[in-house]
Amino acid sequence: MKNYLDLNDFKEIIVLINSIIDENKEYLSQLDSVIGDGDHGITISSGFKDTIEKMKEKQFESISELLIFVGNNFMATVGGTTGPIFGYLFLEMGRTQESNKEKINLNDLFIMFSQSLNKIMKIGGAKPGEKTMVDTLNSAVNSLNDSVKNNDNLEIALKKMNEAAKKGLESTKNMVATKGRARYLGERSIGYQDAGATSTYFILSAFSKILEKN
Amino acid sequence: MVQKLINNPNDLVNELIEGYILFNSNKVKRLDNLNVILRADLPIKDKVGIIIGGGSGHEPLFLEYVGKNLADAAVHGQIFAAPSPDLTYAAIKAVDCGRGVILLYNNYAGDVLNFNIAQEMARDEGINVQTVLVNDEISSAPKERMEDRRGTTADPILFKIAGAASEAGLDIDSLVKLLNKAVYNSRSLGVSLSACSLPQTGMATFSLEEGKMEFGMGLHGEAGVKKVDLMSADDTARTILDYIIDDLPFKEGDEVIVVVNGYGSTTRMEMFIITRKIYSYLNEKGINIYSAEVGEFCTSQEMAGISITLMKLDEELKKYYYK
Repeated sequence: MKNYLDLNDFKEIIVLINSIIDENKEYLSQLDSVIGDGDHGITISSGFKDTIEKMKEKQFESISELLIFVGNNFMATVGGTTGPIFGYLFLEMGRTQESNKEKINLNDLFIMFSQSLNKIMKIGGAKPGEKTMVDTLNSAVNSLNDSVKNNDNLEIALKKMNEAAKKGLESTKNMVATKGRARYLGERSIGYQDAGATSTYFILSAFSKILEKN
Repeated sequence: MVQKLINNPNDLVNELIEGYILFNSNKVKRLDNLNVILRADLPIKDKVGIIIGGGSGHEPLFLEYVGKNLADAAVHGQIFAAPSPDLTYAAIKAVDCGRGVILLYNNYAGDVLNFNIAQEMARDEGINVQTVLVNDEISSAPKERMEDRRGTTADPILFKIAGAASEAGLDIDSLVKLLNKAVYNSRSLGVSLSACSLPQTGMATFSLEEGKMEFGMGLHGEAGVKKVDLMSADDTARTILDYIIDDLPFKEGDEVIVVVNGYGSTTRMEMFIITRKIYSYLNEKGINIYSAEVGEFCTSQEMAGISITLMKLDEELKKYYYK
């Protein structure tokens, strides 16, 4: 069982994220149109598509360099709320010391995702429980933290993270939106799953799928 | 599905800007190949730069407000999406002549995020960048939380005042103060009669049943505050004005600029019928109309409906508002 992720794995993860998001772009837009403005799927898929195309033309020396490129390019192409929020998801991972290692272990990955979560909460002003992508990411980070304490194998830890992310995502259904455009609906936002939380789940699911594939 | 005369949906914003610039090449130019529109006569010496911007799809916002006595640059995002930080940063660099730059834009989460990142980038290089947020839409948050309100159709008046006052040579701190006052004195509310679509997909962003109208619906289909049966033009104008007058509040003897804005598919006929009632109703209330602007200033694709804006004037604001 492989217990780390290397540069090649991260490249494959980004490519896989692009295809999962692309397959689900209509679904994401549909979720967004109920409580947002209906463009999330198109916006996020175009950002990853552009990033993948440019990524293929470039050489990367380290995981850090790759993730910083992905974050910056995504932010520059996408704009909107999605640009900075999802751009920082990758950018902050790439700004950690850990991302300069050749092999990323479970503890490194936990630190990388934690840094992203903290930055996103800071710039977006959202906390867990406010029906945003933070709910998915926070559940995932908590699960990684538990796995670090349990000494889980990376593959097991990512499987658990995937399940936790899904739970976090599903929890947004019963929340009242207080951030973003959905907040104008107030209580009427209950019953609908947040689109950003859904794409965050898709992004995180690519991490566990890569190890399954290997 | 809404029918549109477009080409590749991915090229909407680029082609919109290209067309506008070809049509106005004496007045505006494009910054590299970016979605940034600049005054053709840049750089302008000894003037605080004014940058406006936001998502596309609301034309004539923002690009048609670039020019002399208007903004120095407009930064466009994709349809209904905030422009990314690198665009605004490039615009700041192009506009700054040493007296600083003001970012004047509508208060939406995405815009604030992206403009703030650009502001940080430029400040790191020692450029004095200040922000003025527009939050005139009264139904998007109660008065106690004015800082959460959205920016809408006060834009055309604010852009004019910002342009004229910066041209007159005001320094950045005085300009920020003046503009914040103008924003505070502006209150808007609209009513929607039908949905708008996303041009990339042709699909409506929300649905409104036949025979209904919704007050406070946002420019991107954000849910409104009150859905009612379709009302007459007179009742609609009175209802909106009552909310607006009460919010500031506007008082007898106040002097105001009125904006009557069509959202996209509302006819000028309807706008003038609404305007007629605004004049008589404000007259009844003893509120004096200094100037009125009637037309499309901030649209939302083919959304039907109108919004009304009142801005209370004082001598200083009057000085920088050219009729």
